[in-house]
Amino acid sequence: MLQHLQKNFFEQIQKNTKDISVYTEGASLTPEKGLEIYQFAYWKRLEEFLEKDFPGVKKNIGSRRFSQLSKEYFSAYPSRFFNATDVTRFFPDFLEDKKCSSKFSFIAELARYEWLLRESFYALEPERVGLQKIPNASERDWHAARFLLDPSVRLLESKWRLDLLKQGKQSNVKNKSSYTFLFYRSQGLARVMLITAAEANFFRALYRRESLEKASAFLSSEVNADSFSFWLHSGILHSIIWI
Amino acid sequence: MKDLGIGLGLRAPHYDDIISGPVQVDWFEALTENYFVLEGAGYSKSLKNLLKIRERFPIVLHGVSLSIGSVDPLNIKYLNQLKELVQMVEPEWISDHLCWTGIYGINSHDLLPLPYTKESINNVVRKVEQTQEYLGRKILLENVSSYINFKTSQMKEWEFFSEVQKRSGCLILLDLNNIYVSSVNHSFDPLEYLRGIPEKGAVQQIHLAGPTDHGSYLVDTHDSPVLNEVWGLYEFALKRFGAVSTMVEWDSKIPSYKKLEKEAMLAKKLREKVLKNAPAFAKEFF
Repeated sequence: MLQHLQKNFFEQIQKNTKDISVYTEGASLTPEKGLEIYQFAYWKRLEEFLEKDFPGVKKNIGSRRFSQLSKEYFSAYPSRFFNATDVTRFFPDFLEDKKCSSKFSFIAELARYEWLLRESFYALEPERVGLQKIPNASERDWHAARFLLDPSVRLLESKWRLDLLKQGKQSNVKNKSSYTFLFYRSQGLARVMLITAAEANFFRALYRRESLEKASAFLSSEVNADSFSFWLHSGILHSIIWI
Repeated sequence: MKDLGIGLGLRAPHYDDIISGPVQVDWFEALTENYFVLEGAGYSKSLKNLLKIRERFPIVLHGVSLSIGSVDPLNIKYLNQLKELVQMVEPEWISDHLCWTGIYGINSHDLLPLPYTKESINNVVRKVEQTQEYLGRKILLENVSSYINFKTSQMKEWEFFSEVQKRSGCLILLDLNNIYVSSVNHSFDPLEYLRGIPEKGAVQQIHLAGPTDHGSYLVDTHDSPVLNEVWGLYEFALKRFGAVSTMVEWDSKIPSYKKLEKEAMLAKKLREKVLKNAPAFAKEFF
């Protein structure tokens, strides 16, 4: 009985249907209105979760389309999480599968960009190790050194200037070249920077635990000591294992 | 019953005010799920702030996703995370709502109303007992506001709540705003509700908040000051239940910390006045 009632009630909320025969008539609030309050709250709350994580997507497609997409997304992926921070995680995949109109063909990648920002923000924050040896490291030590990237580091390649699109600056978009975005957390904030393809290869090599010497081969002469120093001080190069 | 005095709902925009500034309230209530450590993630900024605040103030944890009234079994993953958080924060107590939030594993993220039936009582009591056994401590359950009533209900909400409390041994978090909202929406006397709640030893905490007035009905939005009618219920509750830890919640259109604290100070003044003028035996007359 209770199971049937809960199943029926939840379906009415999700499908915006009204079987009012199971509710008593109130003096000030009709069953129809009462049910509408639950239905409105359900969809509104879910849309707010989505809006919080994907403000750039909303900015680009507008409130009405965003609202419609939110309904489609949560119909396809109803929340199975007790934590609101998880319920939006499939949105980039959903948009990719949906294949939006050519006007918004960048939208799935923009959603991925915004999701990676979020992932970066919530990544683990382990203690940094191995850095104190840097001033006294010998050439032999450097050969054996393996840099570990910060757990917040993510890479994303796109033919779109997703950073500009996130701000709603569609006019600045170019889709001829490929851009690589590096996501990282610094001083408690998730940040993004554009990097070159060579730099991306350098980070991928470090991720594979290749030596600094081998990874640096990707960089040629375009990366100077300042860049390396920035990566180290910002925490992107998080720790060193001296093998 | 441990009396913590007057508290506030802990909200992210106020972390800095609380950590660095002078604070007049005695304790804070933190929303449990906001501080869970996500899988593969580190301690969030929010959790670090909470632990800092914990060094200076008593904290209670208040959840929204236990779904104690659902026919679904308890979510062991949820309980594990709750247990882990409880070990970290060492709250004075933990609470959730007398409601259900979803079925078949799908979460509405809303506090849905229960039918007030014996079957429903049996279901809730069994799950409260399991939760309390798992956590090794009593939990508090809070009454929710509602916008529909089921025809299958066999009793009044307060009879249902009291029976759940009596049989499961849980404690009560009485939300006076929710009582008022439901009393307007379903046309019952809120004082009758309060008279129906066990007088001694069961009420551990009181919530105060403000709803949105839609003319013929109210919606529990926590986005406005406490209504005069709810202050009236608070006065009545203080006389009936004595010195109960009380806090003000504000979740939408969140004002500055100072403004929120002013609202809490109104509760403090009223509480002091009522408790000063009402000797222990006085509550027998209510």
